[in-house]
Amino acid sequence: MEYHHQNTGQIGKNKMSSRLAKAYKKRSIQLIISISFTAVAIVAMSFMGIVLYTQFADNSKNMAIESNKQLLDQASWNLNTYIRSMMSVSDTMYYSVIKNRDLTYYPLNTEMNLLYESNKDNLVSIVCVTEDGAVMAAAPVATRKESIDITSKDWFIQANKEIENLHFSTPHVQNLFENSNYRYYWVVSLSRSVELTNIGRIRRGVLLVDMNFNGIEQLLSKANEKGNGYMYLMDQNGEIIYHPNQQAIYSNLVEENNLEAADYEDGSHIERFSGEERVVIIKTVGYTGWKLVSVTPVKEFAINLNQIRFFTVMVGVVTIVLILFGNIFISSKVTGPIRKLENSIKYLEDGNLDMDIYIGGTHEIRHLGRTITSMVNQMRKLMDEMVTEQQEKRKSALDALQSQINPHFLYNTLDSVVWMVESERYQEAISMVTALASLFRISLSKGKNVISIRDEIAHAKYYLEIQKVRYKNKFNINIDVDPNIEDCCTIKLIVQPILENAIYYGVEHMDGDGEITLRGYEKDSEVFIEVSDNGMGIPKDTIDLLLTDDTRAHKRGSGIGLRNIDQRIKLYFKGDYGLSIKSELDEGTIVTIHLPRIYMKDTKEEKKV
Amino acid sequence: MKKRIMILAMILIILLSGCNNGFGIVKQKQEEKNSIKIGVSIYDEYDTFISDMVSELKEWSKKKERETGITIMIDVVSAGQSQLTQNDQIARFADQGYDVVCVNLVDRTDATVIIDKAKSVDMPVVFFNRELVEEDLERWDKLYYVGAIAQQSGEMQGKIVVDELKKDFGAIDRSGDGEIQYVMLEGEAGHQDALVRTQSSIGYVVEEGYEVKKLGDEIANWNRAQAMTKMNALLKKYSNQIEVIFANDDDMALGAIDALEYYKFKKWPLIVGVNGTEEALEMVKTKKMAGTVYNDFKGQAEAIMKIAYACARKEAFPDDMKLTNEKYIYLPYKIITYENAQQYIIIRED
Amino acid sequence: MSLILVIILGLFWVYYSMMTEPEIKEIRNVSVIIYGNSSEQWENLSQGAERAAKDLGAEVNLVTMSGDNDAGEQIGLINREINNGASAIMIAVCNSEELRPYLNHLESKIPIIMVESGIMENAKYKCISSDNFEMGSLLARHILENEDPKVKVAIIYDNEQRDSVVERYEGFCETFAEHEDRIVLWKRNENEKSIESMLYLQRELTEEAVDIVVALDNTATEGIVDAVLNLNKSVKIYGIGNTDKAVSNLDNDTITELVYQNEFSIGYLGMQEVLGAVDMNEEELQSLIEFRAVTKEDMYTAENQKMLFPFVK
Repeated sequence: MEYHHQNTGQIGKNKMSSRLAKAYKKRSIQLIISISFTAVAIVAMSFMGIVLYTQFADNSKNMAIESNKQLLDQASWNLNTYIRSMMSVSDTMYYSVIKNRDLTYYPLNTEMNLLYESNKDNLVSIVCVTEDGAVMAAAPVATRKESIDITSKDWFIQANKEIENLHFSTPHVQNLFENSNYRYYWVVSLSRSVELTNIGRIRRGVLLVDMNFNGIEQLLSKANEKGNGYMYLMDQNGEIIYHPNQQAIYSNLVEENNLEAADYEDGSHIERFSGEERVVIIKTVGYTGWKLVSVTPVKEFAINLNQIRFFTVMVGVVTIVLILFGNIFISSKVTGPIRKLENSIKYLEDGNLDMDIYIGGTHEIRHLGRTITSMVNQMRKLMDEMVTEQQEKRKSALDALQSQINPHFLYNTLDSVVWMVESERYQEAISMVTALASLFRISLSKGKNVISIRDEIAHAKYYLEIQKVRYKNKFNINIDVDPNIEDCCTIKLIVQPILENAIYYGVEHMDGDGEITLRGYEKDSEVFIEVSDNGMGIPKDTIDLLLTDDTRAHKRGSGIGLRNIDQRIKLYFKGDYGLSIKSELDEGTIVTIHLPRIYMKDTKEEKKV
Repeated sequence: MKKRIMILAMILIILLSGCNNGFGIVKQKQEEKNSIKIGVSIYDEYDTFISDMVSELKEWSKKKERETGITIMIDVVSAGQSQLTQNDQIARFADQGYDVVCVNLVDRTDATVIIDKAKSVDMPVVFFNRELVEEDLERWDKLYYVGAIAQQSGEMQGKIVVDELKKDFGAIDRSGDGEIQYVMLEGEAGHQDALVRTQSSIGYVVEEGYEVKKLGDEIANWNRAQAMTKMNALLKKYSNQIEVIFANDDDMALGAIDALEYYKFKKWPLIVGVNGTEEALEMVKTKKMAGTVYNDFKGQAEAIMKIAYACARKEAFPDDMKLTNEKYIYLPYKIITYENAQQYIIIRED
Repeated sequence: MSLILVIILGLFWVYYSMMTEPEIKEIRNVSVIIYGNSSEQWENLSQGAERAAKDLGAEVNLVTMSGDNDAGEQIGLINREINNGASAIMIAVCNSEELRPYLNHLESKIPIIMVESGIMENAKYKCISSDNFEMGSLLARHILENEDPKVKVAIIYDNEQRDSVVERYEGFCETFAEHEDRIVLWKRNENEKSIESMLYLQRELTEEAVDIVVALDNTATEGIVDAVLNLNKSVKIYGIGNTDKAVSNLDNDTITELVYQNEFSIGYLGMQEVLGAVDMNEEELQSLIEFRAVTKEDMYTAENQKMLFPFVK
């Protein structure tokens, strides 16, 4: 009902879903395998890809940060070394020269020149000034600029503020000495307060070592060549000492987050500046309080990762495609036999029982094929059997039917009745006609094939009655039937023909000495009906023929051969039932009917044949 | 059949995708055939002589440009007296595909890095003015040196002094002891010109039979201000005793003059320098300097450019260029005294 | 079905190749054409240009001329650089008048920008410089503030072919308007040898008793310094420029005051403009270029020393 409703509604949608439903219903095994393998592959690949990629991305980011840290450490170490070497120049000058010397007698120039020459790559000048700002000695150039007031210089003031420490200035242009060729130097001033001895009197002075800023610049610009991002140096207040983009920053063209960074602790931080995220690593350089800052924009990592990501995706896609092809191939190999088997069965369904079932593929499929084949064979056999059986049944039924209207018997009996009536032996005629009627009634048995033994014996009795009259006591009849078996089943018209045979071929010519005995008994839960006579007997070879040869036409009698009876019994009662004949020439014949013990009440209503 | 094609296609694609794994950056090489790039690295931008040379280099290339219509891009950088910086500069030139470089070495003993880099990219190098050792120059056949023979300049200095002595020994030997007391202002420690000039100038005087006595020698690093300082100290110490001042170059001679003027000396010693810079020529003209030795910066510049140009254009060297050992070009020095000072002033102007 | 898959793979392959293309960067070449035959006075500007170029993956090619004022040569150089495949051109015009028609009619596919001196009037291309007018005016103001109002002022007014000089002159004169009568103009001949122009100045100095000489650009400043050093006359020099020579002479009192502009910014912004990294109009650009006056007293302050003594790479 529901389906109907839907159908009248959204037709378009339905088409799709019904198609899908159909496809789903079809669910070919190959499709399932392919799809599920591919799905598994995709899921697995994606999972692996994502996990590996994330791991890789994290790793490479960490590695990049780590390598930047290392670069920073390296630069810091180099800077430290540089600063230390300058400090040691100052130390040497002071402790080894100035301190223990009376400067009135022994001027400083020689040693100062020596120290300068041996360090001139990194130094611009070494100067020693008095507390009044007068230059005591200087190397290499000593011609002071006029009108320079040394006491107002920052390095001078700072040195005197804390006499126990070395003081480092920020980079500035040296403004002390006359220079030729418009030369100027950017220097970092390293100054300290010193004790000057003149004729035993102690005065304070300042020793200045001007470091060539070039040295620092080179160190840091070398460090800036490698890695992504850049590195800069600032003092503890955040003022930039060196920056790769220094000039641009001073011109306010570019901004740097140095003032904020001055507050950061050593280590790595993530900050947001100028609209982009950066990783900032700080390292403080000892003694001076300067800070080295390494800056890497986060997107620098991303650029590299983009390529990797794309590559990963590419690889993933290619692999998936490969897997797809592989799946299709494998699944076709695996499901091929199944499909072939299925095709064979399709033919089967159409009713072609004589098609060869496909045998192939894996062991299980072979097994299936073989089993199906044997099943089909069995089916075929059974069907054939059924057909034959049906044919036989029909034939027997026909035969039985035919026998029901045996012309000879009827003709003779009626003849006898006519004679009796003409002879005015009306009573005998009535009995004969009545017996005949009863006989026919049972013969017909409303068309049923299976009747009770009682009825069959009754039928036999009527027959015997009639024959007795006709044959005028040429023989005796004994009937001995166990009442227990009277309610059992039997095929109709099996006793009478045997009696007929017994009369015609057994005792007819015995002139009154013939004995026909009809016995019915139960033995081993089976039913037996015996017709025995003491007639001529049947020759051995004839006995065999009796049950097998169908073509003997009976000149007399009902026309149903023993074979027919045997067949009918066998047809109806599956098993080892039927007729058996025992005979001895001149002695007699015993025909035994072997039936199963089935009570009438146990049988279903039989279909009319 | 169809399956086979599929498999083949798959294999192809996999191979191709595997191949293209390199994420390389392609550098654009100078494809223009009508322009050349020359890199020049000097040891210090404040050296007067070197500055003169550089101007000459540029002049020459401008002239050549007009002559041939081929663009010559000259890129001059100063190494700021740092060999490391210079190495980086040469590396940069190499990476950017310069056709040839001219190098005025900061440290003449440390040419290895530059030679290796230049060789690796097949970029010829013309060294000038600061001479590297022969072993280094031999390492590749596209290395050249243009300079002058230091020995000659020293000897010429000696000759100037000797000529003056010959003219009037007494005027110079103020102390009258028959010995010439002198001070020497030297260039950088280790510089070939400094070493050789110091030794050969005095050597010449001595060989001419004169007795000399060294009062002092100071290193002034080719720097005028440093020379002035050193001279001040010497003057303080020796004052009038100094009879001759030998300066390894003009800048330092001028520094000595600065010191003399500062102290307002009345009687000046003989002063000789080397190079023949503009100011020095003026000094010679005004007799403040006895003489100087002309360092043919124009000739050297021309030689440098000719070699560089030929290398860049992959042509043969012009016939008028004679290379010693196929590597060296030495241009001769010239003595400049009062007589020919004006002449050289004019030569400089051209 | 397999064909479809092959096609899809092919598409992926193409896409993939395209993705890796951006890695192959083209290095752009920017030609910086300046006037004058030495690059000394352009040190700051070229450093700014190179810094910006480096950040943007380009290279600078500095092109000098053989003289100071050969418009023909400069035009020739511009053409040559364009033909040699320059990606962009930065030019300091040597002669605004003569270059105007050329530049206004130049159909160039590559971006061009002018620095320091423009060509005024409907220029097709932008010019980056500081406010030249204001620079001249500032100089005048300081003279009025620091000097006796009765001083006689000589202005070295050569290179008037350059708009920058003209603007500075106009700025100066406007502020000095009340004392116009005390202005003398000295014009040196163009293309004169430096010795002769120096002699000319010296002659002028001796003949006219001026108290102050105003120089409106680098060459004039250096020229008057040369003249003064070789003469024993004391005269105050107020100049515009910041070459090493000028700065050094400021330090030794030869020059009384210098007004200079931040040429590093000019070069830097100019490069960014011409490479398309920024896009501002002339006013905005001008506002970003600082100019300042310095004397001997404040030349070593932190701000000034950064500009006067650039880090030379």
